[in-house]
Amino acid sequence: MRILYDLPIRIKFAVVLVPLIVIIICFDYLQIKHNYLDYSDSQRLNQTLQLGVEINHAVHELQKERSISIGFVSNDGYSFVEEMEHQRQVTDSTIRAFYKELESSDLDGVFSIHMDDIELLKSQFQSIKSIRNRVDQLALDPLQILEYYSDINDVALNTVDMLINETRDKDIAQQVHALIYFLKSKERASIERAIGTQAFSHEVIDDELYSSFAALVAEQDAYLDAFLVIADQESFNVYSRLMSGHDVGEVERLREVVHDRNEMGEVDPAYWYDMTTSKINLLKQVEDHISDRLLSHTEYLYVTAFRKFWTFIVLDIIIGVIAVWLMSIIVTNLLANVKILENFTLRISKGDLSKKVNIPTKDEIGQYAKTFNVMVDEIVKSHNILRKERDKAKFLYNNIYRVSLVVFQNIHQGIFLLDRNFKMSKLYSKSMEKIFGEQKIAGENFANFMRPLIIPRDLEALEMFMRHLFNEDMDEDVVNQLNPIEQVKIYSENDGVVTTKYIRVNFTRIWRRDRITNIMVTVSDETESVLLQKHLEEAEKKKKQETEQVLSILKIDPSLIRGFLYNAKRTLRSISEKYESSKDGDLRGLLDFTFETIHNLKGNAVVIGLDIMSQKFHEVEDAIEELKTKEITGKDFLTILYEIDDADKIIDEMSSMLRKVADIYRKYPSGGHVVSNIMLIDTLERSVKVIGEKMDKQVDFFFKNEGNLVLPNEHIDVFRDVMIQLIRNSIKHGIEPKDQRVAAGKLARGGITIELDQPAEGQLRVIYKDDGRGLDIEKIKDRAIMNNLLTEYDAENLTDEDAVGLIYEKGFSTSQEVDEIAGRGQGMNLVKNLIESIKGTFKTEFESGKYFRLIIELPVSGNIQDQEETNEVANS
Amino acid sequence: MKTSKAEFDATCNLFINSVNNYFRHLTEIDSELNVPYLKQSEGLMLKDYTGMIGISGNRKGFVYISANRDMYEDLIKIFIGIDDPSDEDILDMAGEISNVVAGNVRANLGANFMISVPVVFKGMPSQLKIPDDVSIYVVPIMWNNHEAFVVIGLQ
Amino acid sequence: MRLLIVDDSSIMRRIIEKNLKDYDIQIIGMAPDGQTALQLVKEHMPDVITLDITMPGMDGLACLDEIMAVHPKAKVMIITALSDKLTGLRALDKGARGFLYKPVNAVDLAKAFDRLLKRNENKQGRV
Repeated sequence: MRILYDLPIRIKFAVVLVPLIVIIICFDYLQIKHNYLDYSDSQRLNQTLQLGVEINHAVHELQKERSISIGFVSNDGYSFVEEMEHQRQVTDSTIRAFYKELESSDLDGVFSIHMDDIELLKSQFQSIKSIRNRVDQLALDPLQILEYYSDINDVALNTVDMLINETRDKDIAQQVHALIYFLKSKERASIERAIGTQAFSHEVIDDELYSSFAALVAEQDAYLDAFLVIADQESFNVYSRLMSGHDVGEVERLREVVHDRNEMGEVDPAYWYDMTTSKINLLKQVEDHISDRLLSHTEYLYVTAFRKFWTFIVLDIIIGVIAVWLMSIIVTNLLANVKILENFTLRISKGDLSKKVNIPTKDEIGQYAKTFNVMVDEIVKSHNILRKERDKAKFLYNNIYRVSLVVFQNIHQGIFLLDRNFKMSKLYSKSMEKIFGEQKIAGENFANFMRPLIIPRDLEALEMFMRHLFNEDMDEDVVNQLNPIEQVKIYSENDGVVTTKYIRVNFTRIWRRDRITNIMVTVSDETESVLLQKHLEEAEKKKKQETEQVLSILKIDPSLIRGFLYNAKRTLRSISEKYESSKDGDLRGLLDFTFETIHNLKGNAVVIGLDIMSQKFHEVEDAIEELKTKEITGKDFLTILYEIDDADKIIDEMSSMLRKVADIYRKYPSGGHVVSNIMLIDTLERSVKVIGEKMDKQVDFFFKNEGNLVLPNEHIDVFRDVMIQLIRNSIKHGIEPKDQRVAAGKLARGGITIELDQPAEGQLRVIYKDDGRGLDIEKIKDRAIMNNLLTEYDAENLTDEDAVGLIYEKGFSTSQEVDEIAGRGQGMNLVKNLIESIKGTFKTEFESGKYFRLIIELPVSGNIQDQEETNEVANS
Repeated sequence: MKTSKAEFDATCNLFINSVNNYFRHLTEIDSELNVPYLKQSEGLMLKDYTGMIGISGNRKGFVYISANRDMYEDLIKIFIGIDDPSDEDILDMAGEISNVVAGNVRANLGANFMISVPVVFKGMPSQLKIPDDVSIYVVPIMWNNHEAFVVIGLQ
Repeated sequence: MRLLIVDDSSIMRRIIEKNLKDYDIQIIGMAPDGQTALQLVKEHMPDVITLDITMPGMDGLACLDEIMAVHPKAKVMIITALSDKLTGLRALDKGARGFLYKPVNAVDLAKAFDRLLKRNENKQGRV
């Protein structure tokens, strides 16, 4: 069954149609054969009938000849001579007609079946000649003649029987049989005639002859009855019509005579002969009639069968051709459509969606094709959408992925991702290899990767740190504060050379929904900047140290410092010497000794106010303290030694500084003023910067001293205090915030200017000015009233000048709290007191919204002019 | 911690550990550090045989590994099995220590530190070229009842 | 929000107190050392605790262990002068939620507390 299902449609058609066609052809063949048989049957029957008719004619004449011959012999050759001669000619003509018929007709079919019968009949006909000779010689008796002729007739009738007794048509077969019965009856009638003729000639009939006569009549009647039973109505009618009349009655009467046997002589044998001959002729007429009818009937049948046969064949061929033509059209069309669909589906399966299937028929396949086209349309639509998506993806890939690859190739930072197992991503920026001098990066555990590069403590911290980075509950900023390799020194190998590098490693979380999937790590090589920074820091520190050293030295009596430095250096050396000589291994004792010694030195430094040294010794103390808590080894003393060495170096630097300062003192006896002035301006500048930063205001400091004037040492402290107070006031109250300044059309950065000049000998003028908002008279009055310095009434009558004076009054300052910038509520009152303490005078000038200016005049003695142009430092 | 100090610490540790490691690895006898001290170049006393490693680069200076003859003899006895080594053997031994230490240190220092091939000398040379601004740290190391000096001088 | 400040330096405690005035925070106590801190934690179960690492007696990490044992829901912020990152990470390991280096100014403190409290909101929103 499955094999049938699996067959291609073509073969399926074949499986259905071929058996059908075979069956139809077989059926057709049978039908044609049947028709042909009908046709050939009827044709042959017709021919055999014709032949039979000729034979019957011959038999009829032979019957006559027999009777005449018997008559001739019975009369010893005296009677019937002429009749016999005439009869023999008639007989021969009928036999010739038979032969002629035998030759003329196309009797192949007949011969093929009845050859033997016909040959036998022919030989019988040929034997007639010898019989006739013997009759002529009277060598035969009547019975012999009867026997010979009857034998020939028997054979002839038998042949006729054979010839016509084979037809498939029932009616004809019946009528043929009827005819044969009739012929047999007629033969009996003829023999009856011969016997009768002989009997009447002899006028007596012996018993033997009588019994054969009676048998003949009985047989004759029996055959006739059989004929009448099976003959059709028309034959019956013909028979009934013809077999009547005088002659027939006479034959009956003469028979009775024979039966009677006594009056045989009363009847002329010729009369008997004539009567019976007349009767036999009637019988012959009936026979001819039946034969003719049979002939015409078979002729009709033959023609009909012939027509039927050809009609069937023609119709069969026409219908067959039409059927085959229709079948081939439909099947071909079906198969072609199926083939088109097949090819189309095959093309689609190969991805070619460019064409549509075109099946014009409106059957299911056509519908199917239409549906298919709709489907293909849908597929093409989806395909187009997909292609668009793909193009988009391609675009993204090409433009973003490639760009990022390019970026990764060229960016100077190391970039990679960490997964939750701390594995480094396969994709990382090229710089990673350069920074770490390592090719094996992808897939490495980051902690393992860093293991040889950083110290174990940092490594431990790094592992802990990464764990916290991946902890969603932990704040990223909090964790990032504890990045242990934010800036770390690594040793990496590049081309066989080991390099120290400073790298900065930053970590950024990458979230997917509620989960941190990766950490993006960026690594930058800061070696150069770190080294530069260190360099700068150290330079800065050194500069600062130097400045502080100078400052400390200047503040303190040089001899005190010198003594201290000398003492300190010796003490430090004694520590080292103690180490060198210690052989007993009492490390803790040594540590305690060191601590005490350093502590003493620190105390001394504090006492003389040498901050820089006391700080340094404090650091040494810290280093020792750290060691005190743990088990110490000889190696630990290296740290202390390092600090001590550092302290020793500072001592050396201070000593050299001290020498340089001493040189200056020696060079310029009053030079101390100059140095103090430099430091003073330095201090003021720094104050402006620091206070400005604290108040979040940007203020520039300008110092003008065109005459290279020098403040006397005794005024320096007061001057500094006054100036600092003024600077605080200016920055806090005078100079506006940046946006206000910009709005008022001023420079964004505020400015404070201090100018020194000498209006007259023995006088020094200091002009302090800021470019702030100046003074607000009304506000000053309000504040004075608020602080109970003034009644409202007084305030109204107060001149502007007097109002300005209020700011110098004690208790004017409004700052409630003590703060570093505003001072302790003293404000301008302090300025006034300080100036007066050194016998100075002052004058306040201002323009509201523009500036505030204080002009201070101090009396000075001696030379305040600097001899050389050494104070360029002050100009900033 | 100040970077210069850390760097100093790291450098000192590299040398000292390397010397320690050398003794322990070769003789299975641990060495011990005595209390180190500072010395001026004029007061510096070296022992019989000294290997000198020069340092250049970011920081200049030197490291001496110095010990008396009997220590080298002991080392040779334990390490090589010669009972009565010649002067040459002793110098070879001194050179060997310095070489190994220098090699170990070189592997651990970056390119900013360059280490010279060690030079071995006997006794105290008449003049050691030590710059004035270099502090000299003397680290005495006790091994098998012998004293050796690791002398570190760094700018 | 109830806050406990644990710091041996009284100045530090005052700075914290002063700078957190604007927040909706009620300071339930200030402890100069670990023992006192533990006592106060057990008594008040504060929501937020600022904790110094270097303290006399019980040090910060040990104290953190004890605090987490009795009050695991407390949000502990480490405020320390110890610039050692490993110590800081260990504190996170033990359950600290925030971290600040001394010296601390008002801005740092505000930021750190914002973070500590916002994180709390986020956590609730996310779950």
